[in-house]
Amino acid sequence: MAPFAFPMPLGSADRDLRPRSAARLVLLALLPSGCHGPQSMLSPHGPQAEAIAEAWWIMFGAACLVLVLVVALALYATLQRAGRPPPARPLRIIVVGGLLFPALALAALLVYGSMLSNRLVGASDPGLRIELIGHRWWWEVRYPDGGPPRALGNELRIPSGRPVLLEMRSDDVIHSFWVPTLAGKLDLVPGRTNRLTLMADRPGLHLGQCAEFCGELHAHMRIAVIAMAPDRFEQWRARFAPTPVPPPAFAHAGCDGCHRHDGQPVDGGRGPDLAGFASRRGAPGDTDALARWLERRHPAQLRSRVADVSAPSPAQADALAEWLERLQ
Amino acid sequence: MSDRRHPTAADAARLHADLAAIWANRPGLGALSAVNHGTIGLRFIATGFAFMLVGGLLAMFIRLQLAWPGNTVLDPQRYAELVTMHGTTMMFLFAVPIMEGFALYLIPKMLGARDMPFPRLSAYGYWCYLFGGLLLYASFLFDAVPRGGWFMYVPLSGREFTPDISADFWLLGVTFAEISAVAAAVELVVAIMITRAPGMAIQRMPLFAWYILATSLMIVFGFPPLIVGSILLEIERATGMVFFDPARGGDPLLWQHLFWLFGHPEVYIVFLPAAGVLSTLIPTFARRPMVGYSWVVLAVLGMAFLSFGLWVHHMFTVGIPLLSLGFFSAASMAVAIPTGIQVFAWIATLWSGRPELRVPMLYVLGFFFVFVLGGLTGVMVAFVPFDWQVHDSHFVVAHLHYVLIGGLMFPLFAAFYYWLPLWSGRMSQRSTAGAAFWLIFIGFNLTFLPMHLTGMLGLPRRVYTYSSDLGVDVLNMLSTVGGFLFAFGVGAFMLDLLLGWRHGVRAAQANPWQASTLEWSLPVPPPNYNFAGVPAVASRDPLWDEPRLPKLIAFGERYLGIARDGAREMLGTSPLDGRPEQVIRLSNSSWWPLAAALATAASFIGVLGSFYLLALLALAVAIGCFVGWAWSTGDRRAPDRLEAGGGLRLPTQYAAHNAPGWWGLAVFLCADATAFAALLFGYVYLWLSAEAWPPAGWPPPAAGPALLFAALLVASSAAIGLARASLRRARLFRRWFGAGLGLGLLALALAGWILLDGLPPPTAHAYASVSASVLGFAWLHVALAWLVALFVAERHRRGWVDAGRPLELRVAQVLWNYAVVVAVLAIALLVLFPRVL
Amino acid sequence: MRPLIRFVQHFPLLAAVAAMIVWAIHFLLVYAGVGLACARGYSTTAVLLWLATTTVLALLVALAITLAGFDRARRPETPPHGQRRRFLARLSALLGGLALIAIVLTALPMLLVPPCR
Repeated sequence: MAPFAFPMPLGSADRDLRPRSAARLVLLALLPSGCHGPQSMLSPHGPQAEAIAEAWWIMFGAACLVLVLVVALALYATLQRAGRPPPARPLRIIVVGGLLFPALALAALLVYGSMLSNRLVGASDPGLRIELIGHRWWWEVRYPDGGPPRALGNELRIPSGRPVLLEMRSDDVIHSFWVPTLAGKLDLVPGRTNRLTLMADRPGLHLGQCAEFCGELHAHMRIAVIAMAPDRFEQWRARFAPTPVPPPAFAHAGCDGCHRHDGQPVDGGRGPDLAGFASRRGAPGDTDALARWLERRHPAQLRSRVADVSAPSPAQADALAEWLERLQ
Repeated sequence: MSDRRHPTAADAARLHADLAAIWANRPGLGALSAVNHGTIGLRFIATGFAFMLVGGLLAMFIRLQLAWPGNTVLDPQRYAELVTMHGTTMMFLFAVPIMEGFALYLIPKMLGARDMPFPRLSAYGYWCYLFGGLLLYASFLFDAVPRGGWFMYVPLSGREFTPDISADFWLLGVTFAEISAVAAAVELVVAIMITRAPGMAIQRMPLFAWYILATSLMIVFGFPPLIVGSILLEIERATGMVFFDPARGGDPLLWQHLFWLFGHPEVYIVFLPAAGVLSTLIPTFARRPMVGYSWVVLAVLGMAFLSFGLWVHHMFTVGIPLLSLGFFSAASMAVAIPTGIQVFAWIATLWSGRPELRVPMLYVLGFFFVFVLGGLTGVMVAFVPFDWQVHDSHFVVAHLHYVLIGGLMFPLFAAFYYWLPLWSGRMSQRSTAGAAFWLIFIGFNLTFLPMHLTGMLGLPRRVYTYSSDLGVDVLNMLSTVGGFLFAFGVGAFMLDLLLGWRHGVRAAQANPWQASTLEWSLPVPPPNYNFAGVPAVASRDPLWDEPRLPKLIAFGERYLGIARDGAREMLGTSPLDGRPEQVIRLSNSSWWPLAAALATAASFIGVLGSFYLLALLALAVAIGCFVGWAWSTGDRRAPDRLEAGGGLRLPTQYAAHNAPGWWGLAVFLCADATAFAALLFGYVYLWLSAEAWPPAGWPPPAAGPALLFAALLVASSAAIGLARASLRRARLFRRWFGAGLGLGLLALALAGWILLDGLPPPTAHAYASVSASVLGFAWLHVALAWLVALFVAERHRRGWVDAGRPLELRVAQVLWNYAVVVAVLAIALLVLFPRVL
Repeated sequence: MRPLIRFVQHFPLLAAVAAMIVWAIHFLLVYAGVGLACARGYSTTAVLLWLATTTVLALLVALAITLAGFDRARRPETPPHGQRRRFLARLSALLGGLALIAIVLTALPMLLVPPCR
């Protein structure tokens, strides 16, 4: 089944999981391959996600140790043989195991956590400011600085290797922006602006998803974060190629009621801007599948929200899909 | 004692027959009027178990839908509904009530008491719980099932994004069920404080009572914020007043604060009674008293306190200053220390005893693995940056199920096996019980262990489907298979329990586990009055240290081995040292609780369907029921002092200092004051996020009328005080009391005028809404105190209240003074806050 | 006031948990202080001063409660209520220790994280 936002196959070239340091190489070699994935916090591609993944492995090791110890103790205490002498001072078990050890371990963990969170939030001065607006159920991205104003839907392009500042707000309910391979999540709360510094190490495609339940189609509120080499990013930012003219079906099927395709930031949008639709799919997709999705699933999903939507005919859907595939 | 003839077996049989007649529930449908703690406790347990099965069924649908990507068992809306109802059911209709059921059933039996001190309140609480749960599930009939997630975040659950009545079903159903939780909590606190067996000083209380005391106090302080939040949201949805909508000065995060102010203590409210079960079982099976009694009490009270400093750790990602997150991270880690003390106290007890591996112990061992794992992931999510990644992902789903199922269900299942012989005289077969345990243990871990990884691979919670490219297909399938194994395990457990109940081995003796607590001194099944003679206790482990006790109890020796006047009587003792102080005369079976609960339900339904006339009418009927209820308490003909056995003559509660009514009011006012504090928190919170307070164009309320209002109230309080002092002189009393009532009435009228004249229209801005709510809260309290005072005036006139039996007047006066304090604080806040800050 | 005093008298448990109440008040004060200061943009010095003062005060009070508890717990048990007094004193001391740890943990982030970041 195709989700609300059409699925985003990953171009293999965009995924670079090669570790940079020898230590990381050893670490990764020890990991089951099951820990990796395009949306896995255990495949970090940015400094924030890397630091958090490291903290996870430390905590994971410690937790395994404690778990084994406590369960072994409980089993030993219960399944003991008759005749074994009881501990001389049982209260000492409580003081050492329940008080001293946790107090020290937790104090250390708290210091580590405070320093780490401080480092992550206070990361180097971000250069580029980008606006991120949450809608039910799509992401709007706006570039107010560093070139002509520009808007993207369900796609966030950032230069790799340097931090950008996301200014996040919501248009309706609470959403949460989560791209696990780059950073932890931050909520988009109506009435406030939250700021998140985001940085990707290298060019590549990263997947993210809304993490705060925002209604029916919450599961489909996904976003592609495309990290580009800084010079290519500047190029993209400066270039402003007009999108190809849409087929007549775009108006006939009522697509224009929600979607724009010119990359212009406009308030009150009801659906994502389609400019660049093909590029966020990473590699050329299956045009036919896209057409069938436009014909069946998409109108069905919209029906609960938009009154004036009509399903395109098969031929119209083909034309729309063919046009969408050209929106680089 | 010495000068009394010891009763013979024939005397004992007669006593039992007489007591049985007095304490019997009515036959047939009349059983609905039962108020006895045993009956009500079992009803709570059975209903809670039934709701657990329903909630579990919903979980099976959820797991089925998530078995593979793109599954279509449920559509997105139905999925959201089932997720919401699953969480809501398990938290509000299963976890809290079933443990309250165990507490209601066991606490009097463990403390050596005959019943709970407010039997009709127990019954009312039960009906509120049942009707609340049914109301919630009635939403399926109207196809308006709540679907905003079990924590109902605004604005998603506000009127704009949930225009149908599904959110109202949730808000009203849950609030209704919460009334029950608070009622039971108030009653349990009072029971533990003043109805323990003589000699059961505070340092000799069974540990279970400490856990229940802590839990009940946590409910008293933890539930009111959510009740306030739910009422505010319901008001916002129904009337257009505003608290959470940022467009008119509200703040959606206020809901999150109020919800989690309840929500985190809730986790410990669920865990502590279950831990109390473990602290009862483990010494029994280890054949020695708990190692470090004071340390365990420290752990219980420590957890109870610290759990109130954790609520923001559910809000680490909403954009709060980092240092504030640090405080909550610190508290979240600190709470692991008493938890650690608790766990190691159990281990030390097992270690230094001679443990027997009976069936309940299987679940205890399973508990150690599951709960410790959940606790460790709990420490991880308290680590702020890690939480930024896993918050609201399936990692958290895994964590919370480890904590709740480990911390609640494993001990609960152990408790069923442990107390089955007390209730039925039979025990379960070990072989089938073992099979059920392993199914549950393996199924549970197979469901939730992979889910940690599912979340870290990027699957958020509450998604109805996911895409294959996440790489979580296999893990989800594992979880689904595990979920069904788990369900089979629960089925096997039920079957085993049923077989044990019907056809199990007859327990060789009344105390088959050789336990040390008083409930095991009772006959099987325990009679409604529990103890024919209330025992005296001289140690923490009475049955180990005084083996003669069951016989003394059965022969009605020691205290209250008397059946008289057809009255249900129990002994009240002093809070600290358990010195006999009063004979508490309790209500027999009564229809008032059911009638009051039905009327309450009708008024909730009226609000739900926007039939406000019906709501008001039903409310009037409910108030009528409460008045009837209150009027039928007391006994004008009862002598001031009663023979209590052991050569003691004790006052009844109407003449006693530590009367249950007084204690009940004190504990209830703690809950009420917390609700008021939550409302004031809302006021300050909205002020903090507002640009101008009050919004431009509106002056703050005028000082003159406010001052007059406060003066009237203070004067009324003084008048009531003078009336109390002149209770021996009826005319003077009536004059002062009447003056107090008159002044109160004037103040009520003046408050209405301030509301209309001094504030903007309440729907205009959050400032006006929250100010009106604060004033409305005060007004309601003064009005309630006024009604209660009127009631007492009438009781005095008819001779129920006099200088020798001042209880009702004492209660009315405390309530009056409390209402005055609330009202003066409220008006001071409204007038001073906008001017000073 | 009288009901309140009587409530405390009838509830010496309140005295036993006094140190935890100190923790709760301290927690509330530092949390509210940071929230207020960040929303209203008060100066960092003022915030730090507030945090330091409340923390030192809380630590001192909790320490005093703990030591007093230990002291009372060491006294001989004199009838009629010696056992109960000693139990509550020990409880007060133990909870005092827990409160001290909790306050120290709360203070740790203050040393590591600047306010309002």
